[in-house]
Amino acid sequence: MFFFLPFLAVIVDAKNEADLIRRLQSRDPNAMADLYDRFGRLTYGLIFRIVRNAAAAEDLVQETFLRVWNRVQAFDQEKGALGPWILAVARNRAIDYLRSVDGRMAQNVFELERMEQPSQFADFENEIMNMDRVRILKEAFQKLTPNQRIVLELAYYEGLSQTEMAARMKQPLGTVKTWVRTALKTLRQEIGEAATA
Amino acid sequence: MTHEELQDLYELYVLGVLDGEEKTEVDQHLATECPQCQAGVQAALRFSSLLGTLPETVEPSRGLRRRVLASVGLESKAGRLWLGALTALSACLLIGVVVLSMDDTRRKDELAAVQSQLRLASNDRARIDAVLRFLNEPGTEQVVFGTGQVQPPRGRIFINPRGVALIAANLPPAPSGKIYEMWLVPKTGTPVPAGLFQSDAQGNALYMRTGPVDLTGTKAIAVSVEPAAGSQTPTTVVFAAGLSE
Repeated sequence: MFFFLPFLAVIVDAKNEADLIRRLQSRDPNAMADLYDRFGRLTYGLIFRIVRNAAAAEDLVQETFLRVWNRVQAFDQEKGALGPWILAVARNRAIDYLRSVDGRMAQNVFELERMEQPSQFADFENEIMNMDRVRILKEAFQKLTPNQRIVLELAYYEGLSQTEMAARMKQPLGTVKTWVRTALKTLRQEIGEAATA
Repeated sequence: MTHEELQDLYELYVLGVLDGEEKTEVDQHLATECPQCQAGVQAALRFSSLLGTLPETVEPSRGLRRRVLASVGLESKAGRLWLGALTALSACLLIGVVVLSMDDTRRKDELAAVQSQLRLASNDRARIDAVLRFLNEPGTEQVVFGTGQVQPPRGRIFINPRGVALIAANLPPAPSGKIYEMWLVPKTGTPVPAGLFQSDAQGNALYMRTGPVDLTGTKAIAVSVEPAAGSQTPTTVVFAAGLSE
């Protein structure tokens, strides 16, 4: 009987989330409190990791949640998962900030927004709330070589292109590309194997 | 490049860090609505959201929750107690009038309406404050649009290298299922999306897009009506305002 508990939890979680999206779309400010209580620490943790400045991180968290509030109307309450969308918005705001501070303004600034359109998050599971999946990813990340970890961190947390990574690390572009691809492939495999196990 | 080779690029693409020919190749595939690439991008988004859980959890300050909620009008900001007190006093007076003049059923409806108006007013106040701070930043230029027309959207656009803000009137709310989208129109190339916004029932709009702006490479700011999720190219342009050379 206890075998069914994880499935039950997923169903209840999805139902709660659909209800939360509905309340956000009907402009219930209490829904914003629930949204923050659910994703606030995660969002702050990610943004703080990227900008490494508490004051800037708090400004960006506020901007992230306001952006979600203003755009939630386009979110599919039955198919979408809020967590991945919020993290995408948060990461993009933080990278935007980092690029403006670094003077790296031109590259892909507005294109980041394309990848945070609510429609992109249809048919998503809320995997970021799946603690097993998160644990597996963290363990897999630790198995990567130091250089593989560095290039992924430069891409995800600093928004550097492969060309910029090569310049930063003083390595040939081809070498950096190999590290990136191998790292992503390894993580994909670990996550995929865990999902099908 | 085969789809198998492209497989390795989707994650970098969704992270916005792919460049050169590889980015062009993914762009071209997506422009043809290639289903394999669409699926690849979605899988990559799913994967990249998981990467967002890697950082250790850090506890934000207690005030952050209040700030976030204040931005949608649920709680007042700590630093604005006088404004909060004024709002509370207004609320008491309004609610008092309502309570004295309504029966129980109507009273509940009116109270809810008053509370909703107060929340909206607080939310608007936070947005106006943010725009005012932006207007006062050094190097901000302004462009007036809509003058001289019979029934135009009218207003001003403020722009500096750190963002762009729009204040407009006579801009009716976009129809159901539609939204306004702002565009940065470069001197060469296609317009770049700069965010979505909606005007209020009175036809007023206040919108600010923070993020780097290439002032020398931008010739105009345009606003169009688009589907609710926005577009990658403008569909129905409502107005455009040229920047000074």
